[in-house]
Amino acid sequence: MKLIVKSGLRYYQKNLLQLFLSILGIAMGVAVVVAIDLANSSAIRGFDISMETISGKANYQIRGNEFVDDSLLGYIRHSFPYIKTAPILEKYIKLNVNKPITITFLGLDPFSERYFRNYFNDANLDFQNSIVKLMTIKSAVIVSNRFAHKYNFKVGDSIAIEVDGVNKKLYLCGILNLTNDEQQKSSENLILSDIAIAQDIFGLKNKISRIDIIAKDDQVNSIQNFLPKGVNITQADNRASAGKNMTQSFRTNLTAMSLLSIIVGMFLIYNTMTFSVVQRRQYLGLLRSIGVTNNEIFRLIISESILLGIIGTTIGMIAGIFLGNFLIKLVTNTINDMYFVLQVQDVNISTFSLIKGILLGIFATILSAIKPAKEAANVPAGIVLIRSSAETGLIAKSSKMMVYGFIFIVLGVAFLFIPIKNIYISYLGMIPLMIGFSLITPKFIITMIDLILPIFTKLFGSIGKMSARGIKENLSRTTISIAALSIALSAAIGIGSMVSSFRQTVIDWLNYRLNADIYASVPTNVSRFNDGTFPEWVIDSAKSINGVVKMNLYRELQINHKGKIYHLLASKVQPQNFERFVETLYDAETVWKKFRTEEVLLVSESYAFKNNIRPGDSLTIPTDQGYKTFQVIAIYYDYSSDIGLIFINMNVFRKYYNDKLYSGIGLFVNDSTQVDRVAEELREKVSPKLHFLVRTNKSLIRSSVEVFDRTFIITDVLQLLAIVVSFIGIFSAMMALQLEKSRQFAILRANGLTPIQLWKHIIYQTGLMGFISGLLAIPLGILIAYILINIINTRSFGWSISYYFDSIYLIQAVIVGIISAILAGIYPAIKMANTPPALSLRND
Amino acid sequence: MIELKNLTKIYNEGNNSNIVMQDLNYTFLESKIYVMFGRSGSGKSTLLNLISGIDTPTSGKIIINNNDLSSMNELHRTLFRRSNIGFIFQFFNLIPTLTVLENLLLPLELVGLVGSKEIAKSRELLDSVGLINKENIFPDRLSGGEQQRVAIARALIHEPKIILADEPTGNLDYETGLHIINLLDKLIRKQNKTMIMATHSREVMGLADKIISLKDGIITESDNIIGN
Repeated sequence: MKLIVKSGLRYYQKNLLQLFLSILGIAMGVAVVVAIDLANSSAIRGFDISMETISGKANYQIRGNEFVDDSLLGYIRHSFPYIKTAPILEKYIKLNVNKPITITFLGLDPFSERYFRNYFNDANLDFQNSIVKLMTIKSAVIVSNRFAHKYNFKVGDSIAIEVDGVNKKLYLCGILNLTNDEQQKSSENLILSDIAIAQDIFGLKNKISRIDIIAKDDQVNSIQNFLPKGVNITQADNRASAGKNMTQSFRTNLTAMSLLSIIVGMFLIYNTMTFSVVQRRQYLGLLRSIGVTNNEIFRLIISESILLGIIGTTIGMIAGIFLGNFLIKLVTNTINDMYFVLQVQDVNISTFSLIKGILLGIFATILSAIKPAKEAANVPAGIVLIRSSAETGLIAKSSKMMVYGFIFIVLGVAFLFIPIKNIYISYLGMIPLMIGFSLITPKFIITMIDLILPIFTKLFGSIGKMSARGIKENLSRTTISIAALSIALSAAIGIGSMVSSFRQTVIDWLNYRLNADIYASVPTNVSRFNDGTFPEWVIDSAKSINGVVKMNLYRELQINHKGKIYHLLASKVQPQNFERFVETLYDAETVWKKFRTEEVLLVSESYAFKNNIRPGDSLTIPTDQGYKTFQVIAIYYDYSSDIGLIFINMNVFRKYYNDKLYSGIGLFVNDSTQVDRVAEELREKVSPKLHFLVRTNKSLIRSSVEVFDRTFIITDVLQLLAIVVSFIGIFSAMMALQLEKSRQFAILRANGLTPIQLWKHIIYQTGLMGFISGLLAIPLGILIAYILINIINTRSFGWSISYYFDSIYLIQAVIVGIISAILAGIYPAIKMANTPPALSLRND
Repeated sequence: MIELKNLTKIYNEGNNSNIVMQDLNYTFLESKIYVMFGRSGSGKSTLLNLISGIDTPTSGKIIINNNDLSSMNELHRTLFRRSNIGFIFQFFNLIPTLTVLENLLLPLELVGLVGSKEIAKSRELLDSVGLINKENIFPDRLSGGEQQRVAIARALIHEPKIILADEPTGNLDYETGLHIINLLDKLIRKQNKTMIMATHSREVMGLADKIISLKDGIITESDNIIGN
């Protein structure tokens, strides 16, 4: 090994704790990114596996908006005898085990299946015996060996389920012996039955969800022409791509937020490398004087960073896989709350995610080391430049740096206002802001110290004075630590303010929107979408309750059509439930009048944003009568779905869709003291037949906010991880700074400073650095919050969020800054106070 | 031969200019030992820095064996230095993260000489400075005199034509200083090098072929009549 490299490595060997912290910082940054990527890709892979298994070898599907008549199958088989077909009835149900879980129920025709899915082949099943039972016994079903093992079922057991609020019992007549890993994964939450039995269980006589077909591309047109209105032939993978598109914004945002950890991690690496350069300044100058060139020094520092990067990244990858196992649950919970039921929750370790992690970790490390390496290469030969002149130089340059800092901030803000929809580019715009604030830091520190010095002197005497002055005297080092901590704190302020503003906006919106006294629906499989339905008699029961004066009726329907999701909300609502508008074609009163009397649509803000729709535009949607085009007359505020909603009058909906079901009702009670009584009466009337959720508006708002909070748990976790990464950074910086001054401390101790006084000196200094970091984080944090709320969020989801200024996050940042800096100072304080001065003087 | 032609060095400190030397002309001859006296701030260290190329003159030329140092860029000056100049400092300045032997091997490695021959050569030189038994020790475990002996060995190991020594005994006690001077005398004369040594110490005079003094930016020269 080259001596110059060996010498560099021995520097780290002598500073093992610092080395450990740097590696830990890189590892954590990489771990967060890899974990999020693995969680995202695993969720999508899980979705793909479910879709592939359910679709089997079908390349096309015939489907309507919700169900199609099973007589269509006979006609198709008769008219197209050469194509292979299989009917499917698919439904989400609740499996009533200890903690009810949503699973998929597939009704299949075992005799059509052999071309599509190989569940029913001889190897998997005691064919003759089970198939006969499956087709002849009432409510007979089969499950996979993995399902049976997971939920502890055996053949002959009864399986309790709930379908649209109604409890049912199934009879387990056989177990599929699946050996293929992917098949096992996809079947662990799947129940299969004969299609006729499924129709009976769900009360969907003659209805099927779709017909899977294997057809040649040139046969598609003739099949389409044969189909009735509202029924279409689409490619089988359209559903998978629609699912992926639906969660795209959510996943992209998650990835972008995980990159924030890498940015904080990069500051940490920069911090470490700069320290290693600053500390070795004299040694580097010496190397230069004996003939080591600038380029050799540059390469030395970069090589060191590559080595740190490789070690940190390797550890980060391993940690990322473990963290991914935890995050996949949070990601799938959010997807289940907001989008669709995702059943496979295993981490799928994708090579691509790992390669991305490796490249990102090493690349980020090298990138962060370039500036310190350049600084190292520019160290003058010999001992020409002494430390104090470096500090004097920085003090002199601080005003100029501040000007450059402001230029960076202005450029960053200008960049963010360029109307680009790409979310990664929007996040990139934050980097100039962070650089800008880092450049302002030296001047800010100087000004703050000048202001605080008299106060500190008065409060803490000479020790306080020394502590405050020390920050300015070591500006080249303290600047890096303060900038790194303030960047992390500002990210915390930004994300915290964004989430709390979003939360408050949603609460305001819910309070405005949910103004009926009681809301009722059957339990849903996806929290943000009422996918459960109930029939007309429930409405009649509600009407008959004494005290109910008015009613809102809702039907939500999600149509998956040719790879696109149409989320319809049909309603008959009272005037007080009219929405608030973002933009309208007419005045609000006219909009509502037209909505009630004409065939027009309203769309939610996020739908308009994602589909570029303005009031006055036409929107064509698939109906049971074929495609229908409506005029959009207004865009309204809605935060229930980032896919976006199409709001349609119930009468118009009933006209174009063969659907008589309801998803929810809202009841207005004439006397507010009677609300609980009416709710109870509704439960009593409906519950014996249906699992019906009856909630007062307050409890519905509460549970909606709970769902909101649940979907942001992952954001909180990421925010916490970013703070932990930055804490490691500040700890490492403080430690290096204090340990480096061991000789100075030893001189002070030799001159009579007691260990307690030394302790105080270090803690005052680190605490003051934390305070300055916290103060500096406030403006950047507010700016980040503004960007997240008004730019990133709008570009990702299309929601308008009001910024609710909450000073608690600002106070929190200052307190976290002070506490973490003090904590970071404790170890060096103890170490310094306990080291005999003679040892430090001798070792120096 | 080292030729200084109209050498000027001015340090600008804010609005003030500090003229350290102006239009200095002098020629150092080959294989001679020069001892340079002068008060603190007279420019001795600056002159050594300029000759070694770790600092650049404001104007004028430094020509070493027909190589014009002042016309070279930073990279070429460094490459020239690593082959032609050995430096001995007052504060020894050994690389703290390399052992005694490795400190000696480093200048050789920089000029591309790596191998058992070089290790043997380094050990031989360590033996001649009396430190062969300390080759695997790190510098912080050596006394000041020992560190300076390693520094001398390091300056000589790659056989540079010129040795520059800046107060090599300035941080040592009288006895140790004398020992170092004797060692330098022995090694430099044996290897027939040119050495320029800046010092305050009168005891060093005996070593010199020529004694020069630097005052107000002017060099005055005298032969060492004390003799060797």
